[in-house]
Amino acid sequence: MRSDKETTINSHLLQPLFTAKRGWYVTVAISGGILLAAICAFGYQIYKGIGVWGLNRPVFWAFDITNFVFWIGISHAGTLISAILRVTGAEWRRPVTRCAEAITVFALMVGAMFPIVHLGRPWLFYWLAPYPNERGLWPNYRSPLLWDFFAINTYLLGSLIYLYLPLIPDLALVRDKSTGLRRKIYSKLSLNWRGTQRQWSRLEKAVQVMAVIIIPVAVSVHTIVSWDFAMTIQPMWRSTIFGPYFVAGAIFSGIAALIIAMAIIRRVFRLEEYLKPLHFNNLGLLLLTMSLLWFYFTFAEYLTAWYGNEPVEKTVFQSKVSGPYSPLFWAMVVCCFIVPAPILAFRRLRTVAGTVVASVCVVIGMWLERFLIIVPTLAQPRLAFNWGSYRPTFVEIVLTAGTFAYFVLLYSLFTRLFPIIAVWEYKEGLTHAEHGTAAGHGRPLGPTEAAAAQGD
Amino acid sequence: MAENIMAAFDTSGDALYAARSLRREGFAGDAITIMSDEPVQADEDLIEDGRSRIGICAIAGGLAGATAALLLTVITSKEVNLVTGGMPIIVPWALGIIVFEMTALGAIIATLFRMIYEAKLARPGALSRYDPSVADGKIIIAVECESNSSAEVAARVLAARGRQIS
Repeated sequence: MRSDKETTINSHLLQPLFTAKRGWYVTVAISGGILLAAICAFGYQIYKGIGVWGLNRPVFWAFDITNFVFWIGISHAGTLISAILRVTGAEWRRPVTRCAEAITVFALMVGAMFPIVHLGRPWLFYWLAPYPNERGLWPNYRSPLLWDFFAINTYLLGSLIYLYLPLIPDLALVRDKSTGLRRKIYSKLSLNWRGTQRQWSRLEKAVQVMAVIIIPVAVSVHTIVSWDFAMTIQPMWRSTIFGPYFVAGAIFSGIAALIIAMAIIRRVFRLEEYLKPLHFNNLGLLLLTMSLLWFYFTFAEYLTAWYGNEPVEKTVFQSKVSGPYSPLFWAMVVCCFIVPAPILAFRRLRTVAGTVVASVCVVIGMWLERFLIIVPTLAQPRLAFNWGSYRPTFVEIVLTAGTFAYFVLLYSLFTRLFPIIAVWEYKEGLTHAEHGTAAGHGRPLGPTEAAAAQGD
Repeated sequence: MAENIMAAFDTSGDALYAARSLRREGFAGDAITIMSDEPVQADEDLIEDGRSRIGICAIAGGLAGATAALLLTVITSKEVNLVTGGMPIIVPWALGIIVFEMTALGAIIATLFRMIYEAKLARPGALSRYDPSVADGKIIIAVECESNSSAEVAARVLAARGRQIS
């Protein structure tokens, strides 16, 4: 039976598209203002040259690559988590998946800008792409930077399609509720979707296939990003565990970003009925698992550097643990493990507010982690005569703030143009809970799963 | 003369009951279309929607992507004669990563296009056999009738639990 509650879900979840709350305008105004400042800073950088950054010999990578690695990591929130939850048939995923998938696309868009931004002459970025030209230039396929090019573009396109496919029925829903030009646009975007049995079965099949394809792609992307460092012979970069270490860190920061985004959406659009404490509890447990895993990887990485006692490695190690970078290092440990782990370990603290506090700490801690991987190693290369230091300039700080603002702005615009909770998936979950079967699996739901499907 | 009959139902139970009744009256599975705003759990023999080849196409797309990657990397590297400092130009370890990414890319693109093709999406005029009340939670059944008499039968069956739209 299609209850009254179920039929009102459409209008409830589509409401943000037709009427904006004041909080939304405030968010757009603040993020837009910061982004404008970042665009001015970027313009200044183009006018004066890349010398306006704090980069100097031997530190040629700093905030730019930190931001690149950080945002590519955040992008693991969505598609990977959503795909894993889909493949495993986790019923509680339904209100969460689109929030997560949108994060992936926008975080990738922000992250992928940085290799271009830090080119020096960013308008020549297309020289990176392999295409026939008269300059005799051809990309070196053995460079990890070119692997990045292929991996990130594949992941971006795959994530965009993975976001788009389950969005089609909801676009049709918006089309049917709209008039005029808006109706025409959504009609095109929904590809004249009618919701026939054939269309539903093909959509579900395609989403399942995509979920299976996208998981290894997501893992490969951050592994390849880690190889940008691990393929060198720099101290504390050349590590065989960098691939899984980066992937674990990416999922860790991604889940944290997802929790923060969900909490904001829940508050701004009054979606408490859909994004329930259960979702924060479950994501909090995942975050706890990743926090423990991150601690394990970090401990393993630092222990081997310390135990090996190789002078060049030990120098970088000491600079992080007890040297000039130690405040940042210990702040990272506090933010990524000491604060979030106890909050997330106790059910009483694993509330919406508790998971958000833990997530904010994790996001800060993971940005610091990326910075600490990159800068101390570059500042203390193998030959001591070449040691240096790094201090960010105002331009870099504004650009970094701009990345966050850009992400928030993109995400805010998305919530006004598209349903941020998958309407059909949510309703399908309710139907399955009523009939007591799991989607695509045909097996009966357990009592916990049935409750999760309804978000209780 | 072919005629389309459409009716709206409040519940999936009513819609499925009507669809079964239509099958009992001799309507073919591919003549009946159920439209809804969420997947309806119908019996496999009730509606004939054919076998999906999305999975096979994804594999084919993956193979095409891998082939394109091999051609791109191997042929162009040799053609451009990259300076590699005495190292081999063709390096399976490195090229394998690009082949992997382009395999996935091929599979992703093939999945998208095959899904659009099989689901008969993006076809002009498709919405002429649709009713926007789907967005209000109604379930629509459209029946293709070959004659006036079959149209009358369909209208009678659909009217038992639904509201005829056209």
